[in-house]
Amino acid sequence: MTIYAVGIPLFMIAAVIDSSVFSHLRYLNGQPSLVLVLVVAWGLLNELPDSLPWAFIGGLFVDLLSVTPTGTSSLAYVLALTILAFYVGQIGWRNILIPPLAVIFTTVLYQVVVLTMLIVQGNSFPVFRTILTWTIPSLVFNTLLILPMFRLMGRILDFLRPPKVGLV
Amino acid sequence: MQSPRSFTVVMTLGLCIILILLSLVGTLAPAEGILRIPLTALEGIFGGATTDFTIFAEEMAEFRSLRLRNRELEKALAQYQSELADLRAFRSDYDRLVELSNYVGQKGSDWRYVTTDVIGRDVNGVVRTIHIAAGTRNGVQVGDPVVTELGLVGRVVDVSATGAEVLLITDVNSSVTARVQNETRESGLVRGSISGDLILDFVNINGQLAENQQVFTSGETQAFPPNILVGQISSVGISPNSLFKQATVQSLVDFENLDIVLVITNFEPVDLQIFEEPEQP
Repeated sequence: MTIYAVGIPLFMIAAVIDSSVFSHLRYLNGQPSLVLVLVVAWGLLNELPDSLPWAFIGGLFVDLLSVTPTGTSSLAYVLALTILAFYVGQIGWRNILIPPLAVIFTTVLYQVVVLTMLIVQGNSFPVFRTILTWTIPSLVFNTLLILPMFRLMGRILDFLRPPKVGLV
Repeated sequence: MQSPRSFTVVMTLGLCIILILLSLVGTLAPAEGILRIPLTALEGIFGGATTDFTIFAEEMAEFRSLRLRNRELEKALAQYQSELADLRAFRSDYDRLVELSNYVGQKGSDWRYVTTDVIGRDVNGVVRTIHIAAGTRNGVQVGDPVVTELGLVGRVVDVSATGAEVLLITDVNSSVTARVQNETRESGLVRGSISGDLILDFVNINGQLAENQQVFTSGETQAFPPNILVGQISSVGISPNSLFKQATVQSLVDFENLDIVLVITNFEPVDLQIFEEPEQP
């Protein structure tokens, strides 16, 4: 229960920070996405069934502050974590390259899902310029953000779920 | 994959797809409106603090150049004051002529404004929208035009009880019918672009566009009221198909650092449906 008492406000505030604070850091059309980075960090530090609810809840908060239909970001995050769990499970997340690679993959997948949904809604975007002005800056921001957030999330999880000890 | 794990994944994906479908058809709108209330309140707190900090940092950085700029502005002010005196004389003549000809139209002074803070932006970089701290409780409705003292900002596309989402005119899917303030009063369409620039398009190829000419809303499609400043022309060119003139329009509004906007809450578009041709059976 403690995990939900911390997790829900955490993702709620992260979504608000994305929309009201990180939007001021926007370069071209890209900006850091704290929710996405936290979802990836949480996903790498937990088993898939434990991390999916957070991908879902984090995505819901993002969609409530966006023009995309509710559920779009959740779908992207859940898909990303499922694929990551399959591949990262074989390598192990302790490899230093895994968190940056995971966040790059999730950012790209998220943007593909969001653009698809916006096109379904009748919007149109020039593909090449969108990649240049949205995808590339977002990848740089999120890659820079993942390592400190990964450590922070590790500390939070240690606090919420201290390792069990016993007498041998 | 183990089967309980696969079951959780399939259930979560299914739930996401159901939510998307319900959101697309609008069934979730009331729930979304309620859930947005705490988020809008938090956005107001974070957005206000961030804006204050940004303004403070920018002001400190610009402090040295402000004194020089102040001198330039004092000179410009003296010049504009004399121009203003002339324009007031013209305005007085215009008002008298309007009364004499019994002209029926919408005037800027007729508008009722709601002044509100900008509290956030859309997190998707390709969509240029802002979140404002006024909603249906303040009389804001979908379609209301949003302006600042420097010109047109956009229009409300989504609204909850305490907040609203505004599609900026710089968004790639936004378009505004406009008129250039020159002798020939050329009309065209100002549309946003992925880079955030404003493009004036579909202007008559023989139109006499020039730099620094001002562009105003024409009000032709009734999406926006007429005579709101959109910006001024910064460069002129020809459209790729060589059929129209095209111009880049520089808005005076700084869309990246908007902090306060005005929503026009009593704009009622003229109903043009009566002039539309009925569909053929």
